[in-house]
Formats: sequence, structure tokens, C-alpha cells
Amino acid sequence: MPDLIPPDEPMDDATRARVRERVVSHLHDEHRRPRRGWLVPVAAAVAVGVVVAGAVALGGGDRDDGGDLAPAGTPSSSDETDQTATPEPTETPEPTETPDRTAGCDRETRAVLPGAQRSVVLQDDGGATVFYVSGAQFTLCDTHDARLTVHHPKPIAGGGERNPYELSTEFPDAGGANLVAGGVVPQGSTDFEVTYTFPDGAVESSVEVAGDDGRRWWLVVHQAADAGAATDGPPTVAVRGGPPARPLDLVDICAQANHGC
Amino acid sequence: MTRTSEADLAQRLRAGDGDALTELYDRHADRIYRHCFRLTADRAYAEDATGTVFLEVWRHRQRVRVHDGSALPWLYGVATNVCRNLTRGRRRHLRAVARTPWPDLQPDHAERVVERLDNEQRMREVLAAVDRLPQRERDVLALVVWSGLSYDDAAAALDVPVGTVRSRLSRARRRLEQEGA
Repeated sequence: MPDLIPPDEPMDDATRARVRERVVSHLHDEHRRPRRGWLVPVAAAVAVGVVVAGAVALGGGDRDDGGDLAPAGTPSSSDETDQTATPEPTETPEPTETPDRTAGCDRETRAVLPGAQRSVVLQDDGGATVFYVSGAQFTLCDTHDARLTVHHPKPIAGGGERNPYELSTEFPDAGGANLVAGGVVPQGSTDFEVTYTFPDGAVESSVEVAGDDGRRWWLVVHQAADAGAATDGPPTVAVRGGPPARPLDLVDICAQANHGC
Repeated sequence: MTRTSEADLAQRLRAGDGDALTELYDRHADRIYRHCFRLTADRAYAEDATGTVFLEVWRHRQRVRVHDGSALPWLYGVATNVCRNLTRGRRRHLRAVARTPWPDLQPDHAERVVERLDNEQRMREVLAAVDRLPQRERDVLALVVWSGLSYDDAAAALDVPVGTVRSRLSRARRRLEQEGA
């Protein structure tokens, strides 16, 4: 056998703890949520724009319907689907409970931006996005995938090293890609709009909402069915009523601070 | 203190005991992470995949299998599928990001980061060398040669007969020798 010995890459303590926290958080979240049969259906694998359903709306779909990843030979995925779609008799669903996937955002975001306080939550069929402020910085936490995505903080007043129109990219296990961008609407701007044209041809324009603290926020979410086409390169961005955009580079579609790209 | 048997852990897992999942994690996360790194050549993806493996285990907890007193072969099977299902777009994105310049590194982190990048580069080279093997042969190679599973455990992980593991590995070795990898 030729020399094909892989390098040894042990799991360091920080990684072990981080992944463990993710697993434990999922368990806790699941216990807080009603079973999926009572959840709002998630519009997955289609390109959709964001619809602002309210300035402060909690909840969101539970993306827990990824592919069948158990080893072969076990029951088929259709069997599994049937099983999970039917509530187990031993667990009583609570249809009146409002699922709150943004609850985990507070903890996750404060690890990235200490002292972060919510400004506003935007909700659509696919999930919710929470904007946070701490001092002179802001960030956002997105829940369109089962895994929460928190952006690197940026100055509220603008400037800074990061591209203000950068996007996070998340690849749900079920397929597709979620690209999310957001920020503060410049003070005094009356017709602010950010428009992204993605490599897959999709064009998404920003929606705007006012936060509890009086700030106005903009948000763009692109949920793409074809991850490869949507992330084949950086999107082009056009801005109306605000600071001009500088071209996005590949690093600018990796805005997340709490997990890999 | 007596260590809980994995058959007991599996039973608790099937009953919806989250502590059983975390105990399985504490026992086996390191091996699963290493396996995922070998399949992805990327620490960040290996981390993501490891978390996903245990969430999948939870989601499919009614199917958990214990082989020869250990759930590890089944976990390897889940991990193999999770890493195989990394989307094409994700892989493409990985390659794209790999081409972008790295930010300036702080001196105290530089050595660790260089080592990390070196390992990732070496692993990419290893994966490139076996890239022409059929997926099923790569899976066996990764489990038996890289992760050190017995033929029997690898067969349990992949849910194939032991003879199939032997024949796939034999074919993989032959192909690699012929190609001079």
C-alpha cells in the first residue's frame, strides 16, 4: 500500500466544548419546543425573499428534516419521515406553545458581542433574524437553519474593516444555501435599499424595519435551492440612499463569527 | 465506578434520555472528529460535521445499534454519511475560500495556525491521491486503514458483509498500487 497516512488532527479542548455545547443546546431547545407536527411549515429549498411579519415576532420553523444519514440497512427515509411526522404517543404536544428559536441567539450572540441587547426581530416563513446592539457596535443572529449564525460585529456608525454589505453563508444539511446580510439604515436616508444579484440569477432587495431603540435596520435573506450556483462567487451589490458598496470578495460571503463557512 | 455499558446507553438513548447522548459524545467525539477531518481535510467542517453526527444520532436514536458492545461502529457509519453528504456547493465553497488570502496572524497563534494549515494541506493531498477510487472503496479505506476499525466493525459501520469490506479494500489497494499513488 502506498504511503497514504493522514496527519493526526486531534480535537482540541475548545472545539470539543464548543461542539458539546451545540449538541446540548439542541437537546434543550428541543425540549422547549412542541414537536414538529405543530410547527409552521418551513419553505425550504426555494428562493424566497424576506417578508417582514412584524417588528417583534418570535418563533420559526424547526429545520429538523435533513436527509437520511443513518447507516444503510436501517429503515428507509420514508419510514423515518412517517415516524417523525406522527407524534409519539408518550409525548404530548403543546400546540399553544410558541416555538422560540431566537432564544438561543441571545447566548450565542453575547459570546460574539458581549453585552448585546436585542433591537428587533424579523420573522419570515423560513426563520427569524435578530439584530443586537452593544455600545457602538451591532450584529445579527439568524435562525434560518437549525444552526444559528451570528455575524461579526460592525460599527453602528459605519466604517470599520469589514465590508458593510458582507453576507453570511450557511449550508443546511437538507441542501441549498442561506445567505444573509443586514445592517443599520443610515440616518436621514428616506429611500435606502440594498439589492444583491447572486450568481444563480436571484435578485434580492432589502426589507426595512424599525427597532425598539428607534434605529432602522435592513435585511436581505437569500434561501437558494442550488447551493453551488448561489455561492459560485460573490454577489454584486447595489445601494440606493446610502454609502456606495465596494465590490464583494469571496471572504465577504463569510460574515459569520460563530462557525465555519 | 462502573462504566455504563453502551448497550445501556443505547437503551437510554432510545428512551429519549439526552444525558445518554452527551455521554456517547464524551466517549467518542474525538474519534468521530478525527474521522471527519480525514474525510473533509478541514477542521471547521470536521467540527461542524461532528456536531451534526451527534444531532443525527439523536434524531435517529430509535435506530442506534450496538455492535460487539460498542456504538462506535454505528457512529462511524453516521459520520461517513454526514461527511459524504456535504453538498457539492459546500465543497466548492471550501475550495474557493482556500484560495483567498489569510488575514494577518497574531504571533502567539501563528505556530498553531501554521500547523493546522499544514495538516489540512497534507490531508488534502492524501484525499487527492485517493480521489479516483469509487466512494465505497474510499469509505472502507478511511474506516479500516485510517481510523483503524476491524473489518468486522467497518462492516457494521457500513452495513455490508465483512467479505465486502475485504474485497473493497483489496480493490482499493490494487488500484492505488497500479496508479503509483
